[in-house]
Amino acid sequence: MEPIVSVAGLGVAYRSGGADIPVVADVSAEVHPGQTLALVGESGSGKSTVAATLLGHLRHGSRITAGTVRVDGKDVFALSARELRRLRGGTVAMVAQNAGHALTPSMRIGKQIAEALRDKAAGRASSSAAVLELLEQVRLPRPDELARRYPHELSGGQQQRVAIAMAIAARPRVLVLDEPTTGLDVVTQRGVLDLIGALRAELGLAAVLVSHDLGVVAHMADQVTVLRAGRVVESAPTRRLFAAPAEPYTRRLLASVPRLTDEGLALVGEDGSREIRPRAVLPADAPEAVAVRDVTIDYGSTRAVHGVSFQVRRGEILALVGESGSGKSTLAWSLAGLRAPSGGTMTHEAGDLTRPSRRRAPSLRRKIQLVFQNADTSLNPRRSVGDAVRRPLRFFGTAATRPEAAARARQLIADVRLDPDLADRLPAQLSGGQRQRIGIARALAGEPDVLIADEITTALDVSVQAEVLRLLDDLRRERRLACLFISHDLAVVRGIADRVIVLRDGVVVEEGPTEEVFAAPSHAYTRGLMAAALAPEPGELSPTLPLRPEGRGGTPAFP
Amino acid sequence: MFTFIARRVVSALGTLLLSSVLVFLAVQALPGDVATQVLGKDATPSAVAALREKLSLDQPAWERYTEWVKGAVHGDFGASLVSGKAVGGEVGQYLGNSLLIALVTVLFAVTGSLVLGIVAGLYRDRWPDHLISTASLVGMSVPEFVVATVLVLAFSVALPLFPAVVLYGPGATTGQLLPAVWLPAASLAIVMAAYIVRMARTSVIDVMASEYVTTARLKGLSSWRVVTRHALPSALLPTLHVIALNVAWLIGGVAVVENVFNYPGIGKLMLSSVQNRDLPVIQAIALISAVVYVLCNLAADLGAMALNPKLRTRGGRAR
Amino acid sequence: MSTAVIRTWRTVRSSRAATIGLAIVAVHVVVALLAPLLTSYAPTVGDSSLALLGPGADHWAGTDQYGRDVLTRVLYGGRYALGVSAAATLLTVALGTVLGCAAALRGGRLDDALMRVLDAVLSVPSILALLVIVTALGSGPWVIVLAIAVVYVPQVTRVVRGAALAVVPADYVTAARARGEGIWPILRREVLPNITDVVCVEFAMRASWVVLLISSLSFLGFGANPPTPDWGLMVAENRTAITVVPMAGLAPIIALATLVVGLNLAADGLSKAWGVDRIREGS
Repeated sequence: MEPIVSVAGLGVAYRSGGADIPVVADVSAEVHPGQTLALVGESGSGKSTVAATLLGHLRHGSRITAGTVRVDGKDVFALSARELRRLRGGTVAMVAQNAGHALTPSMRIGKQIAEALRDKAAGRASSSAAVLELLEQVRLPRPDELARRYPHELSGGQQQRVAIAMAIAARPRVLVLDEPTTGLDVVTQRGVLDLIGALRAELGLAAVLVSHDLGVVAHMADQVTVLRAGRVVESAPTRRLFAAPAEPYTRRLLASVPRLTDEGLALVGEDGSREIRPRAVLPADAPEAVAVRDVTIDYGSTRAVHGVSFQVRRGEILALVGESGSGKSTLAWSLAGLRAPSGGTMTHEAGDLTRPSRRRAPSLRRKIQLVFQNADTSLNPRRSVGDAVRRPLRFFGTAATRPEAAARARQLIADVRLDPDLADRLPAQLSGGQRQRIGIARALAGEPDVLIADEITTALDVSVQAEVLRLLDDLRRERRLACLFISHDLAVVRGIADRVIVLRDGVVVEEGPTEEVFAAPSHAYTRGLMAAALAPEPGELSPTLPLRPEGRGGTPAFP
Repeated sequence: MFTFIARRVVSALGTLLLSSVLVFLAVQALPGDVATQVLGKDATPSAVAALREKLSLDQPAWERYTEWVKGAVHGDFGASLVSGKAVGGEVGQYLGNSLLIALVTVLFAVTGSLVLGIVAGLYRDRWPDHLISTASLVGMSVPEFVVATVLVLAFSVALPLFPAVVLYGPGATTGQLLPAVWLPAASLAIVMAAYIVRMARTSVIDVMASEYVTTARLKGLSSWRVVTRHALPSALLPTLHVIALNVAWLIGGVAVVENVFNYPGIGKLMLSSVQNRDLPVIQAIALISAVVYVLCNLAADLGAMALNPKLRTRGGRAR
Repeated sequence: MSTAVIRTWRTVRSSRAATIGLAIVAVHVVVALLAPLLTSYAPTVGDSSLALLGPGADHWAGTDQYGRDVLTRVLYGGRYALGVSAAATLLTVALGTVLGCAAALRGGRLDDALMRVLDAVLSVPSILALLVIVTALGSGPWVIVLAIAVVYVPQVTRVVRGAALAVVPADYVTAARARGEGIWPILRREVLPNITDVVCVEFAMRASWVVLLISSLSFLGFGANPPTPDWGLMVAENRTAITVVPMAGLAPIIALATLVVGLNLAADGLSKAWGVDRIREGS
């Protein structure tokens, strides 16, 4: 059978400062009708660029340097403007990464879908009937009411479904999905993936799925192409790729993915070997570092956290797990002194933590340190990373003189397994993983005994995530840190945490040692979260029980 | 939606009230005695006393303020110190003449600059953009009086199409003033358009780079539809406030241009009342300017509401 | 600090518009400083027998109605325009930066109250406010500097506040807050370095406005007092005779326009190179 998509020897470059910088080089791939090809890679691999070329789209300033892209037998980049429009409006459709940004804010949902209908000559009545049918097809409740809404009135999951409806409106033969579930909560993600799978079968679509998430890819794709720095590393049928990856890079990538079944932190070797490090044994007399009792936190009139209690001991990692809006980050910020709780107590041996940080004694302030989710924004872009580490040293007086602070800063940078010579660089000159390590070094500068890690690996590529997790595990062993590890990712938590607390809408629904919670979750919500998580092992998606059906009383995923 | 409008109106009234206080303080609390300020240093004591009486300077400032505001609400701004006529009527007459210029200016400047700005944004970094951007750079680099002077040189001296100066007083009819409106309006429009062009260009470029415009393109829509339906509503949003500020700026901008052409408008009155230290007139003009400013901003807010459904449905601030 | 200077210099070099713009401004500054060396005529003394001459070998740009050499007055005129504008812009931008940052960092009631007051100030046309202040306090250069600060500080404050508001929620500011740092260190260490580009662009742009405003004021007869050589004043003086000696009116216009074009080019080039949204009076 003829492939419907065929990319041959594709090269893409963009011009910057008078020089051509290659983004994609010598990429080839084929997709047959009814099949799904996954383009997998970490950030900067060029996977989204390749996917967009199927629609004849290049970013401003980019151009094709080599090769061809054929869809349905036509060379996409040789088409006239009119033919290209017909291709986009009929043969290929795209679901963009972030539906919240991809929908026009000033236009009603129904109208945006109607625009994409292929049969534009049809009357208004039949087109609105078609829109309703599409909204039903993407399993959205009350389509007639929804069609009159504006994008911002929908939850993230609903927006993504609308984007899918818009893409299938023209009855395309190829669907390009660019990270279709990134940024969605795990349960919502599962719902959207189920939908995509069902539609693909119903409509006999070929699909190109761009993803960094090997769990998603394992369950959705027939064929996988692994990209790295714009080049193909390996391409194989899904089962073979996951069972016997040929290239070391693929092996390392696969080994880096944390799994729900890991009984400790996975240590990944250069060759892609995977070894599970047993959990640290916590001495029975480990002192309590922080105790939180019945804490409630309000944002204006809405209550984000309802009476939460827990304590963390020195050397222990406690995970706070929940979806967006569960109150887990609010709790973290409150402990760090950025938002005073409205009730309950939070105590550290050195003092009261219900006060905002400015009213805490400096000796207490430095004991509790926060590491931020996004390393890109947590470092001042105009100051060297050495300066970022030196500042708390001087501020808290842990280093008495300037030369001492400089020496200590270099030591701290070495402690987070970085070259101390990086101290003179600006954050923009570092990679994401390096920046996150500097964020940790800055937190360590105050010599804390409690470290709050707020989704610190969420923004990182999976291989970098594995390294940062290992660093965190090392540090708590070396320094007997009490660590509050906040995450939405159950598989990550499984590997690193000693105990787990599951939060939902600001209430603790489950609590216990990691092994127990994962072996036998007692609450339906926890079971749902675990069922929705996708392991990097090929297999059909088993139907899951929707915990929060879209729309039916469901709260928006992104309030 | 209603709460949003209500909140904006209340806030506009608040700004207006604050402006009136500022205007009153600025004019009345000038250093030295107001009466001597007005009459000059060598005025006779009796004249000063008479003026103090007339301005009721013996009363405390806040009482004078409330009296003034009370009157202003009913259109009574007191009597001019120079002509002795009611300030309301006099200012109204001049204002009407200026409105003629303002109307023409706004009409041409806003439509023209939006079209040019959008074209420049769509043809980013190509020749139409270079041409329009350069022209707007020059437009904003030349003061109004220079534009006016050059226009006079070109269209009343070299090519005698329009009058260089107006020979009529404030009571002139629209028909008498109409030929004299075009050059002042053109001078103002050139300066005003430059800013709107740049703003429109920037926001069109921003919106055209947005993900939703890319999505619309990838839906296979025609360029015309992508631009008019998907890009423009959001692109006009930030431009609205710049237009509002520029329209409000007109009332100050006319001061210079009207003096070049000797046009009997509010700007001319402003200048002569400052020269003559005619305080009631100055206060009235300042207050009317504040009203115009507040109204323009209110209109921009309501326009933003029409363009941005988030404002309509959340009833609050756009995030 | 030196790295910031190097960075700025590099940006300027990388942008042709900024280089040209700053070069034009630099030429104006040099000419104004060296005016006595460039011409042998006195700017304020004229020979009435030589009034209203066209451009010639002795008087390249002709003479005005009092027989003063127009070119000389244009050369000297930059002194007043540049001096007053530089002082006024410095004061305005400095005040606006402090107020804007403070409003953004403190937020809450202080921010609301400040923005409300500034809005009220903005609602009065700047030229009217300027005229009132100048008539009340006289038209000395320092009064004009002060008056311009009153009129333009609200706008600078708004722009800087907008830029600072984009920085304040960043995690590195949150980190400083969590450390318990005070408002002033946060402002100086975390916020200011990240808005210097906005402030620089604002400075260049504001300077162009100030030059225009000062010249308008002089043109209306409320700014520089005759016989001070000033471009706005010269346009007003030589306008009536513009049909007789066009050069006498055009020369100051050209000087004024090139200076403002230079400032605008610099502002444009810098904002493009830094990726600063040059949205005037951003709300």
